[in-house]
Parts: sequence; C-alpha cells; structure tokens
Amino acid sequence: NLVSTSTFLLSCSASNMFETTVLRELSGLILTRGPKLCTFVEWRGFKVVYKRYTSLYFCMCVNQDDNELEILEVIHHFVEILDRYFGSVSWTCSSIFTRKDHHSKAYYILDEILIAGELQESSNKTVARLVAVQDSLVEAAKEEASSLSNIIAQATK
Amino acid sequence: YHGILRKGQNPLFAFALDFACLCARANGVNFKGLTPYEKKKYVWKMLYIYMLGYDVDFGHMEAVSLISAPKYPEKQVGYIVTSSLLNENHDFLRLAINTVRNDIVGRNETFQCLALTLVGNIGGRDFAESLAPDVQKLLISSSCRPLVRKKAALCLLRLFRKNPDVVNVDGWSDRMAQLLDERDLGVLTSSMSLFVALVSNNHESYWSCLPKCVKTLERLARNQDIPQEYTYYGIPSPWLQVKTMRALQYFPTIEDPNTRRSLFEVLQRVLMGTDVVKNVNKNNASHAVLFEALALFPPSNIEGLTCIVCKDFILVMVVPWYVDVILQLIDKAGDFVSDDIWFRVVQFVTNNEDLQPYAALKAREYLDKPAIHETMVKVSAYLLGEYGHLLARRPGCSPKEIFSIIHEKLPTVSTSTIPILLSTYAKILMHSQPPEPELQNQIWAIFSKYESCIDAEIQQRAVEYFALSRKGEALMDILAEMPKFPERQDPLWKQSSLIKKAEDTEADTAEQSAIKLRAQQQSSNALVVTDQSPANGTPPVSQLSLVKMPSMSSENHNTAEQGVTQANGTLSVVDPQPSSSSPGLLGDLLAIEGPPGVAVQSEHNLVSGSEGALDAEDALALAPVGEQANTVQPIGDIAERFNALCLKDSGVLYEDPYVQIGIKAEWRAHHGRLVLFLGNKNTAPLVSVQALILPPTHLRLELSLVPDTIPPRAQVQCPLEVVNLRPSRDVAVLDFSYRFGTNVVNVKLRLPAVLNKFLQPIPVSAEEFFPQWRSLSGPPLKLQEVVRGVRPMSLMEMASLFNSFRLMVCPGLDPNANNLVASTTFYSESTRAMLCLVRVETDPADRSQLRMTVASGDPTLTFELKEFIKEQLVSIPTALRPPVPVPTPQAQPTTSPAALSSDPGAMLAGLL
Repeated sequence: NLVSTSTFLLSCSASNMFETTVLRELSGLILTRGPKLCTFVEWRGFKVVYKRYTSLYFCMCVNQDDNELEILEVIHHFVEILDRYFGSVSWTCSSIFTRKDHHSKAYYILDEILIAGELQESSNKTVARLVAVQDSLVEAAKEEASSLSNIIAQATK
Repeated sequence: YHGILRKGQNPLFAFALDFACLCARANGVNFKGLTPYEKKKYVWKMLYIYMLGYDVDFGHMEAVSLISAPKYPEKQVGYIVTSSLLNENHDFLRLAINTVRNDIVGRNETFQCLALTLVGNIGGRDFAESLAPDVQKLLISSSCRPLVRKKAALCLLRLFRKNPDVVNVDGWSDRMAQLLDERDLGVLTSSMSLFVALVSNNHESYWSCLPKCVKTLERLARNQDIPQEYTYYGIPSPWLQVKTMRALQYFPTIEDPNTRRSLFEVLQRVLMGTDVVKNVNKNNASHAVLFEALALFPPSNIEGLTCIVCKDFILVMVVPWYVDVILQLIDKAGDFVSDDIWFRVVQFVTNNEDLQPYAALKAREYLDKPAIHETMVKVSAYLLGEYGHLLARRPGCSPKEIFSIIHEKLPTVSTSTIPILLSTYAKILMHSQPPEPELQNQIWAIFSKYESCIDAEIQQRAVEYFALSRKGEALMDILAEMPKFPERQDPLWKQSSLIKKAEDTEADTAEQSAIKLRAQQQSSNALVVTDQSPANGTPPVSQLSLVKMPSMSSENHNTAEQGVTQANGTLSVVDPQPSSSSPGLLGDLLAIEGPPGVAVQSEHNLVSGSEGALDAEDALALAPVGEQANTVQPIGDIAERFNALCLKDSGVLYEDPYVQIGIKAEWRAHHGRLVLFLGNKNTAPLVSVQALILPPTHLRLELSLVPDTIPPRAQVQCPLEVVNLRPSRDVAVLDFSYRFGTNVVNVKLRLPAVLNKFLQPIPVSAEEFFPQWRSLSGPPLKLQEVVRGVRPMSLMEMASLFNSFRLMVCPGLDPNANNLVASTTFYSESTRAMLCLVRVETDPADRSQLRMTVASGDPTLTFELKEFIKEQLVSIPTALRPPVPVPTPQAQPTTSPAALSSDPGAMLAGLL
C-alpha cells in the first residue's frame, strides 16, 4: 500500500521517464529512509520532496532549483483538503486508497489543486466548493439515469 | 483479452477475467456494449490496478472512448483515467484531440475544466499544435469564470514548457500584465506560474509586468485585501509569494526607484517578520517565502544581508551555514556588521556544542589572513578563547600558537577590542592547566602592563584576570560555568532550554554593556542624609552603628576609617544612602537601613557626646560635606539593573566598590533556581556577610548557606531555590549586609523572581485561540481595561516588549492590524500550567491609550497579569511612586518595626 500511494501522487513535472522504473527506484529510496531524515532527496538530478502521514507517503519530484519547502507545503495543503473532505479518520488509515469511490475522489481533488505540477488553487474552500459541484453533477446524472431507467422499466412492464 | 491473461499477474489476471466475462455476458463482446455504470466501474478498476503499481497496457482505448461520452460522470472518469494512464507519446491520444478541442471551445465550463486538466497534465505536441490558441483565448477571455481561467493558465504553461516553439507568446506581455492585475488569487497563482515560465525564457519582453509583481507582493506582505481562505497558517498565500519572488529573480535590476523601494520594504518585512514558531507548517511556509526573499537580494546589498543575519531562525535551521556566512560577512564587510551580529554568532556557537570545534577552526583560519577586520579579531579571539582548546591536537593550534597569533593583532585594534583579547588570554591560560611557564609569563606581563591602563574596562579586566590567574588551578573553578539544572520531566522545559541558553548568553553580553554603561556614569557626590529628629515619633535611637566611610584608596583623601558620631548622647548612624540625581532611584533602591542617620552637617547635636569613645578628630572629620561622599555608594543604577534582570536571566544585581552581586537564573515551570554570585572585589576579606531573603507570600524561597566571610578577591556562589505558589506581582527582597574594615553596608535588593519569569511563551493557532477566548467569558476570568498614559511606542515595539516578557505575540490572529494578540502559559503550584491570552487593541490615532483584555482560567492570575502588563505599558513616573509596605518587615533583623513605620527611608525601602 505504501508503494501505491507514492505511485498515486507522483507528479513529475519535469520527468518523462518510464513510470514504473521511477516508482520502483523512488519507493526503494524513500521507504527505506528513517523518520528523522530529511524529507528532501536528490535523485537523478531532481529533488524528491516527500512527506509521510501515518502509513501514507506523498511525494513530488521537482527540479533542482525549485523551492522544496513550498512543495512540502503543497503536499500538506493537499492533505488538509483530503482531510477535510474525507474526515481524518477514514483517510489516515489509507482507506481512501482501498475504497474505490474514495480513490477516485482523491484524483478529482488532486486535479483541482495541481495541474502540470503547479499549484492552481491555494484556497481549500474553493477546492472544496469545486469538488462539491462535481459531486452534485455526478449525483444529478445518477438520479436522472435511475429515473430514466424507472420510466423505461415502467413502460416495458 | 487473451493477451492479458498471459501475464498471469494476480490482480490483473482477476480483473481481466472479470472484464472479459462481463463483456461476454453483456453479449456485446466489446466495451461499447456495457452500461455507463459498468464502463465507469471497469475503467476505475483499471486505474486502481495501475495505482497499485502494475503495468496496465490494455484498456487505454476504452478509457479514451469514455471522454467522448455525453454525460458528465463518464466523461470525468474518461478524462481522469486517460490523463493518469497515458503519456504524451501515446497514439491513442490523437483519437481524443477532436473531442478535447470540442470540449474546450464548447460552452460547458465543467467540460472545459476537464479538458484543460487533461491537456495540462499530458501536454503533448499534438495538443500544443492544435489547442494552444484556444487555451490562450480562454485564459484572457473576460466571460470565463476563474475556475476555467486558472486551469487555462496552467494548461498553457504546460504546453509552453514542453513545446515553446509551438506556443506563440509574442505580444503576450500586455496580456500578461493584464492577467497580473487579476483579483482572484487562484487565477493569479496560476497566472504567476505561467509568468515565471515566460520570464525565465525571456525577461526582456516583460518589463511592464514588473511593477505589477511588486504590487502583488506588497498586497500579500501587508495582508491587504487577502481573503481569509487564502491565508495558510496565517501567511497570505505563501505559494503566490514564492512564485512572485521567483518571477522577480529573473529581472537583473529594477530601474524604477519607487518600485525598488517598495520591493525592498516588502523584503524587509518578510525578513523581519519571519520567526521560528512551533507549528511546522507555518514554519515551512514562512521559510519558503523567506528563502525566495533571500535569493531576491542583490548579492552586493550588504545592508540587506546584515539585516538577514540578525534573524535567529536561520541559525536554528542551518547553524554551520550561518556561522560561515557571518564570518564571511565580517571578513568582507566588517564595517557594516554591528556588535549584535557577532554576539549572536558567539551565542549560537555557545549553544551548539557540535559547532564549537568547527567555529574555532574557522576563526583560527581567518586569523591567518594578513589583514582582517577588527570585528573579526573580536569574534575570532572570543571563539578561540572559549573553544580554542578543542583544537589543541591540530597543527598550529596549541595554546601558545593561538595566543601568539591573537596577540599579533593587539597593536592594531582599538580599546574596545582589548578587553576581549584580555579575556581570551585568561581563557587560554585557564584551558592550559598546568600552563607552560613561558606562556604564563607572557600573559601575565600583558596583564600587568594593562593594569595601569587609562581605560577603566581594560584596567579592571587586567587587574582581575591577573589576580585570578595567579590562583592557578582555582582559576578553573572561578571561570567554570554554572552547574546545569538536572533534567526533569517537563517537555516544555526541554523545548525551551535552547532559548534559555540563548538568553543566558545574551545576558552575558548585556553584562558587558552594563560595565561600559557604568564606566560612563558619573559617580554622584551627593549624600542623602535623612534629617531625623526625635520629635517625629521615632523612639530614641539607641543602637550603636557605624557611619560608613569606605576607603577607596584611589580617590579618597580622607583616610579616616570610621566616623562615629555622637548624637543625643548615643552613637548613631549615617546610613549609606545610595545617591543619585534621580528621585526615582531612591524608590527603587531598597538600601536604607533601619534608623536613619542623624544629620551630620552643621547640626548642633553633632558633638555633644559624653561617651568619650571618639576623639574630636574623627568627629570633625565627618563634618565636611566632601567627606560624606565617601559613604558606600552603589555603582550603577540598581533599579535599572533590576529591570534588566526581569528580562534577562543573568547579570549584575548590585555592585559597590567592595562587592559585586551577580545573578544567574534558570526557570522551569513554577520552579526557579537562582545563583547569587557574591564577589569580593578587594584585597581584604569581607566579614559578617549576611544574606536574608524576605519572601513575599506567594513564593517559597530557600537560600543555601551564605558564608560569613568572603575571602579577598573571591567569589562565592549561593544557590537560591524558588517555588512559585500562586500568581502575584509582589517581589522578593534580598537583605544583604557585610562589614568591610569598619564599614557596615546593608542593602535591600529586589530579586528578579517576578511574575513574568513563570511564564512560558506558547504559540497558539487561530483554531486554538478563539475557542479558548470565547470560553473564558467575562470577569473574573476575563478582564478588560482601558489603559491611559501608555508610553509612546510603535506596535512593533509593543510586540517586542510583550515577547521580552515571555508573552508570545501571535501575529495574524487578529484581523485588525492595530491589535496585538499574545499568549503564554503561567506556572505556579496552585494554578499549575495555565494558558493566558491577551489582546491589546490600540488606536493608531492616539498611541497613549489602549484597551487591554486579559483572560486565563484563574481570576487572580488574570488580575495580576493584567496589572503586570499595565505596569509595563504605562510610563514610569519620575516622581516617587506611592509606598507599598515591605512584604515581610518582621524578617528584617536590623530594623525595629517602630522605626520602620515612621521612617520615610524605610517606607521607601518597601517600594516595589
């Protein structure tokens, strides 16, 4: 599960390498590091910024000259939003990534925060609002579908 | 799907089988035949398997096909799975280009968002070629909502980064300038990222945007017009700040002086406003901003650098780096480096044992340079004195070699540096026990040379060090550090111990400056003599005491050892009234002994004695005014010393020509440990030494045994344990007396075991503060008062005053910039650890008044803390303050209660 999370959030803004290789190397690099070590690692000419939340690792690979503290807080910003959305209990035990509807939501949220490896929205309220709008759109479509299928079911009776 | 089955990997296998079965069951044999829900479900499963780390090289087509679904849920899944699974080189993407383009140019903004996100995350050449103009249009379109525009900005950024040749950004400077005027911070953040990419490519075209960036920074730094949701741990969008500073770094210079000035102001604000706080996220964010700000400083801007290096937080993070930087700075631009800066280096080296050999080595290296700045001599000498012995095994670092290289610099330095060098020599001697005779002789020769130096500071040090170093081994004990507190189980204490160490060191330097101050002070000759007549209700004075006539051999022309005078048939006393031109001093000085002395000057009762104990000469000797100046006078302002010690943990409490009382204190929760250093400055012993503590009711004080005699030129240490029982502003008093020759000196000194020593600053976040603040509703737990007659000070000064009293100002908590919010923890036995919250509302138009609200969980504490803060804020009147009784007058051995009650001097003694 640890490996998977690093997969999930790996957002290589500058790398074009084959992803599985990237993951294999990075998970080997990061998971073996002790809790007291620096959370910035140099790797293949890039910097990998990672942060651990209970059993989840979040990592981002950035250019050498990027501001790693800023990136670290981007991760925390994302985690705060996840926290708010799922409630801290459910996600800290990494259940977002085991329940399928949760992991999809995590993707939506990530897309509202990062595009092209750059922060797009620093307000967690705005993100929450946008995600809620998406959720309601999905819900609306579901209801529509079920009412449609009801109608069809009624009609074909 | 047989190809999939061949892989045989477990989850993939199961999934593929599942998928194949489903397709077969649905009879469509292909994906298209599935219901929308099933399609979604299987594409998500695919992504999940991918997320688990398996290669998913099937089903791409299905994911891409979902993009063209008409309904939002399927489309969303299609977009997200596609952008996760495929990369820019994937052929399937071409199939999607048309759909993506239709979504981008279409009217449905949710579809626009999905499409822009996909393009932004994949960003292939094909997309760039066919979509860049449309994305650009969206970005500058005024009809688009922010959520679309911020995605468009980042999407364009991605396309531009990957294919700068394809994306046409000619003439974009005007549009960019327009974008940077954006009010929506989400759009502005994204646009700024784009802008960074554009200027990194070619800054020439974007000069017009520069003032806008500075304006944005200004807005952020001043927290003007920034919605609460865009502040991150109290910092206005740190990311936007970082990006803006990044962009500015690409411009080599700023020509417009106004812009340059505003930028400089912003940077200064960032530098000064950044502090180390407990919250790690706030720390990270503020330091992310700080580092960008540092990078923005032109390398030649020494003034800027010096203000950077004042900041401690850098030290906490990167101490070796800091030491390097400062030493380099001193080396290159010593003239710009004020004393505080090198004090700080010393301070931090002192507190970081690991760093000490390194710093000493660096200092040693700098000394090898042919010409070095005087400040560098100071730092190096200090560091080598303290830690030079750690280098002993290295070549060129034996005590002798260190001494000679430092001594080489002595002829080149000014008088302010010589004392430091003398200290270094003493330390070198101390660390090389037993000393090499040659080295010892050399150093002694220097000490004796400076014993007659005209500079008081140098002279004093030379004399003292010379005497001390003659003690040989004993020198070690005298110069040794104060014993450390045993570690107890208090996490708060452990955390703060570094800060405490820093305070200690700071106090040492304060001590140095106090010495200088003292040297400047003129000794006043005025002797205050209480004109005491029996008529005012004092019982006849009947004790035998002595007039104090110290023989200050250097100046004193009157060598009469004593002046005993007869008054009304008894021998009475002239007390050593500390003299000063400031009447306020009198109030602060608790130095008036019991029965006031008779007036000696032109009083008819002067010589009427029937007890022929005196000869006339002695009595006469007392009469001239000039001689009265010989009474023991304190050196320095006792009140000032006390006030300084309220803020520091070590320093001099009292000093007169014979004795110096130093204090070192350590505080932990409601416990405190003070060590009194009683130093005899003379070559004759001090006898009948007595130190009594007059404790207020809220403190439990235990002073260890004070020896009756202090040998010549020796210092005794008397530990004093303090326990704070409950909140109170009363102050403990030390009643100290001694006899030197025939002079009896008695002083009463306030001990700096004051309320604020039992405070421990604690940062609180908005989430912690407000619920607490609200839960403490109204009196007696929450008290409010309008304070008038406040000392004029800026908000910054007030904040630092609060911080100095260990009330931690929490910036950003109060939305009104004219208000201060501070928090602290108070410790006492009755209250235990108790959170105290303070809010001060100031009126920018009238700085002389403010409204203060103090809240804590204990009514007495709230009241006492409020009064305490008030005392610190209002200007101290120069007139005498109303007398307050001495806390425990009965404990005064030398004073009869009756005399106390009627004696103005004794009343003054109680002034706190």
